This record gives sequence, structure tokens and C-alpha cells, in this order.
Amino acid sequence: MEFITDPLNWWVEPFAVNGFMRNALYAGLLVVITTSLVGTWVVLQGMSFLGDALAHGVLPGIAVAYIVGINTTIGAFVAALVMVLGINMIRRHSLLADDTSIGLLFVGFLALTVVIMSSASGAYTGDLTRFLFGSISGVDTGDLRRQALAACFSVVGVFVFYRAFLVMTFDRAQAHVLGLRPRLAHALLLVLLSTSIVSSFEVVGNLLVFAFLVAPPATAMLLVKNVKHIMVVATLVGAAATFLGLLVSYHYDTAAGATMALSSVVCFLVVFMAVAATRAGNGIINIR
Amino acid sequence: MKALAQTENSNKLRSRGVAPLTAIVLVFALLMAACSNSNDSSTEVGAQTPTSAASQSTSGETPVVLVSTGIWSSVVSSLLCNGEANVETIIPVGSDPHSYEPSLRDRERMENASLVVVNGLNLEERLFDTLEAAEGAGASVLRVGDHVDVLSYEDGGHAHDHAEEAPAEEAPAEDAHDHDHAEETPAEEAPAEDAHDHDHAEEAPAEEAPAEDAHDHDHAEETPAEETPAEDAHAHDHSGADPHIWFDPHRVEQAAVAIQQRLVSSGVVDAASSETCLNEFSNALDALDAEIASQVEQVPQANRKLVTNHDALRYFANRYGFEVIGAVIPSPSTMAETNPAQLAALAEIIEHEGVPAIFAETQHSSNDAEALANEVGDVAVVTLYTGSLGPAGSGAEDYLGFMRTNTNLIVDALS
Repeated sequence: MEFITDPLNWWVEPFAVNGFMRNALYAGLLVVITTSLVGTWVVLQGMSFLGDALAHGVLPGIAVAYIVGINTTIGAFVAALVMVLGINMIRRHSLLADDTSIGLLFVGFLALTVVIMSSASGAYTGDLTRFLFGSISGVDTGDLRRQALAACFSVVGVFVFYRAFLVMTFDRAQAHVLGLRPRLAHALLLVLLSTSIVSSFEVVGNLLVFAFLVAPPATAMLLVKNVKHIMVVATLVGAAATFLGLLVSYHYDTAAGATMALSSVVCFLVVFMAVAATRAGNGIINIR
Repeated sequence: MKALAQTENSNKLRSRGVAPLTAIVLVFALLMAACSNSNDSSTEVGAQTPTSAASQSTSGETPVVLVSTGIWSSVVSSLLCNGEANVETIIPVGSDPHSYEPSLRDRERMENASLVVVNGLNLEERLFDTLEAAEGAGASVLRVGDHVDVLSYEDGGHAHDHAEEAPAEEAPAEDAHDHDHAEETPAEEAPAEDAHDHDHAEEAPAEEAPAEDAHDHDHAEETPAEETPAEDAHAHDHSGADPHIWFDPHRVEQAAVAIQQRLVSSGVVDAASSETCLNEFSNALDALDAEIASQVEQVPQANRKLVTNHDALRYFANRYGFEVIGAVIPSPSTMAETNPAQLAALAEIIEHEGVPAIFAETQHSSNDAEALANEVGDVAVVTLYTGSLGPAGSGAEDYLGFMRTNTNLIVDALS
């Protein structure tokens, strides 16, 4: 209960004293900006599963890039691209539902990663594992710079294409009329999504990327209705989850990335509970 | 936002809200329970001190040496036999060092410790980034693997590997150890040690106690070129090197010398006092080595074949004249996976060679090993302590006990 009895020590001291805590916080906040903005559209469009699939889908690209000896970020992008194209191809040329085509490529890519890691180059698995999972406790300035760039890219992208995304999400027919081509907008959103995943997960790991892509926007949607408000609230919620997650990992000695992911989901549950309690009078919970 | 409003209506939920509430309370309860447990997960392998560890840490003056695995903690504790420092362990007993994810508290410990000792050679796969960042922030890190003659997995860790196939990096002297360790006489010894001293120029020759020479016969072959970048080398130089060096007491002795020098140079202990500890520990290691060697004598020559879970016992095999004929997971890491063709091939080898036991490990599932045993029939699955010490009462709570327990298990299973 030290966070109540000795608040300054619990909440502030760790960041004041430790450079790595500040770095982790900055990295977390930059990731949150990136993922919350893009994640809002992902959640509104019902693309969460695609987000999860992509967060894991970049792994074989990184594994291959590492073994071949090229830049792992490029490998990650290529894998994301192949995955998105593959999903679209299956979607267009079959009657299968979206989640089936996503699921197929998801499991295929994940399995491919394990196969690569267990294959002849097994002796290098150790090196590879380091590339496959980021580490918030090991953030350096290079990571911060890259993440800042990705955050800028997301902010600009989401701002510029705001109308296109909005219309695409809520009224596809009107999008055509307005000349805002929904297919192009969808492709752009996928590019933004891939960027946010590729840039973030080498810093914080894919579990955390996916958690931050979905949990803060979902939390925000419990509280506000306007899309712009959702983006702002999602970023704030994500920031709170980052802050809390870092402190819990620090004070209670728990695995850093997983603790932050968990704290973002716990934030959702707390808000969900609070909203449920206040609306209990109506007998209704708005989940959107 | 009409569309939103519509979906809103379609998504109403009845809140007889008890179920979600209970769920949330449960989640919190679990979280709290998990937190309070992990709080004491970082065990203090007590430097055997007259005063209690608790009273020392509150005094705030005792330096802390942070060690990645319990196995190396035990070694470091033996080198601090007068309790000059508290030895803390990052990876809890029973955890797999290959897959441990650090907390932010671990990162702080790294920066605050007088010295961080890790195995290196990619053993602590998920600790690496954090270690490197901590090092960048001024933490002092010793990677034991950089100071030991390593075996490499040049052949990709496949099944037909003979201990005699000495990898290129190995000094030629290495072959001799496979067979005649018991008869080693001091006469063989070169005036070694120097290879380890280059980065601690200030260290006094006082360290080179005569007792030391007896154990360092093959250091002389190490070319300085290999060793010079030691501090910067990290694991990159050793891609493909087998990290499980602690399975050879002789290499642990090499490591102990390097650790002791670093303990002295980072001011944790003074040279004279730690020299005594090192000598004591070296003697214990020699006794252990001789004991294992004589126990291994009980195993008929034809039975000195090891089938392991993941490829962790090569150093043991190399030292005591065993042959690793296969691994269920043919990889130096537990993060890899096996495949049916490999298992089938391994089953055939086991049958053909008449191997009586497959060696599983405490910190990893033994399902594959058991399936393999069922496939072959008449084969025991024996669980060894590999990447972690055993819990209290297991007999493998410290390094010497760990090696003795494993040796007993191996010898019993094969003779």
C-alpha cells in the first residue's frame, strides 16, 4: 500500500532517479501516440484481429532478414506487406470470411517463424530471439528517435486522411460519391498500421504493441463518442497504462512488457466497471 | 455519427452486472497475488556470512554483486566466502534462463550493482537488450563466456556429434581432457593465467597464487587476439558457441579466476582475502572434478552416451568422455522446437545404441522426451538440473551439489 502511504516515493521517485525509467516512459508514450491514433481506426473498423495477426506476422520477416543479413526493419515490412496482400487475395478470390483468411495467414506466419528458428541455423536462435522480442527495459536513444519518427508519421497520416478514414468507416457508399476511394483509404490505413507495428515492436515487443493498439481505443470508446475525442482519450488512457505498468514492474519486480500490456487491459476493465456502475440505473451498458 | 449511434443500439448489453464485476475483482486479486509472490522471487543466495543478509542490506554499505542464474550466483558466493558482498540472482530458481523476461527492477539492480555477472554466449536471450542498455548507462558487466574456452555448434547441433571432434577454436590440448583428466599432473602445466590478465593491468601478481597454476594448463594456448576485445565482444564473437559452460568444473574454474579478478578490480573485495576464497573454491572444484571422474568410471565405456532434452550437456560430455548422440530439441536454446523426423531418427539411434536413459530437465517440459521414451520402449526418462539450481532440499541448491546430483543421476541411469 506504499502507493497511498508514500505517494511521492512510489509514483515519482523511480522516474526522477533512474534514466532508464524515463527512457522506458518516453518510449512507451511514443508507442502509445502511434498505436492509439492508428488503433482507434483499427477498433472502429473491427480490424483488431488483423492487428494481432500483423503484430505476429512480421516475425518471420525479421527472422529471415536476420539470417540473410539484411536490415530487420525491412524484413518486418516485407512480411507485413506479404501478409496483407495474401489476406486480400484470399478474401477476394474466395467466399471465406475475413477472419478466416486473416487466421490462415496468422497461423501460417507464426508457424513459419518457429520453423525458421528451429531449422538448421538453430545455433543462432539466441541472437534471433533478441530480435524477435523487444525490451522496454533496454530502450536507448536510437530506439527513441525511431519511435518519435513513427509517432510523427502516424500523427500526420491520421490527420491528413482523417476524412477519408471517417467516411470509409461509417459510410462506404458516400465515400464513393465524394470521390474518397475507400479501397485506397483502407490500403493507407494498412500502411499506417504496419508502420506502427514494425516501429514499435522491436522496442516494446509484439504483445505490448497489440495491447496498445486495441485496449486504449476500446477504453476510450466506453467514455466518448466523437472519433477525435476517442483518439485523444485513447492516447491519455494509453499514457496512464504505460505509467502504471512501468511502476508496477519496477515496484513489484514483474516482467516489464507483459506488465504494461496487462495494465492497459486492466485500465479497460476498470473503466468498463465504472461505466457499468454509473449506468446500472438504466440497466444498459454502452459498449460503443 | 449516426452510424455510431446505430451500432450503439445494436450492441446493448444487459447489465445484471454481477458477472463482469466478479471477473474484475478476480483479476485484481490474481494480479495482487502474483505481485506479492514475485516480490521475493529474487533470491539472495546468501554469501555465507556471519551476519544475516537482511541486516547487511539495511546497512546500505555492503556492495551487491548481481548474477543472472543461480548457478553462477553460487560460484560468485563461493568467491566471496568472507561475505564481502551480497550476491543477488536475477533469474529465479526453476526458471529457464533462455526465456526469462526482466522487470524494470532488474534493470535498476543492474545499474546499482557493483558488478553484474552473466553467463553470456546468448544464454540469457531475453536479458540481452536490457543488459546492453544498462552497460551503456554505466553498469559493469562480466560475461563469463568471454573468459572460458568455448565449444561451438559448428555442425548445427545435429545428432551424430562426437566429443572428439574438437571445434576449430579449441586448443589441441583439449582432447587430452576427455580421457586423462584423472591423471593430470602439475608437470604438464604451462605458466598460464596471463591470457586473462590483459584487461586488468593493475592487478598485482600477488593473485597468482602457486595453487592456481595447477588448474590452468590450457590457458596458455589462448591467443591474446581472441581475448583482447573481451569487454566489447559481448556474445557476437561467439555466435554458435555453446553457452552451457558450467557443466565442466574445469571451465568453471577458469570462470572463477576471471570473476575473482573482476571482483577485485571493481573494488568489491581485496585481492588477498578473495585469493583465499578462490583457492578454497578451486580445491573444491578439483575434488568435484576427481569425484565425478571416478564416478563416471562406474559407467561401462559402451554406455557413455547421452541423449539430452535440449543440447546442454556437451561440456560435461567433453570433459568426462561421454558422447552426446542426440538431443530431443537439437538446439542450444530451449526456445526451438523439435520435429517428428528428428525424433524418429533419434529413436532409431537410441534403439541402435541401446541407450538406457534420456535426460530431461527440470525447467522444461519433458513431454517430448517421454514420447520418445515410449516410442523406443525400455528407456528411462531421468530429469536433470540443467539451467537452474534445484529448490531447497533437492541436493542441488549450490553449484557443487548441482553437479554431484546430476552426476549421480547420470551414473545411476547409465550403469
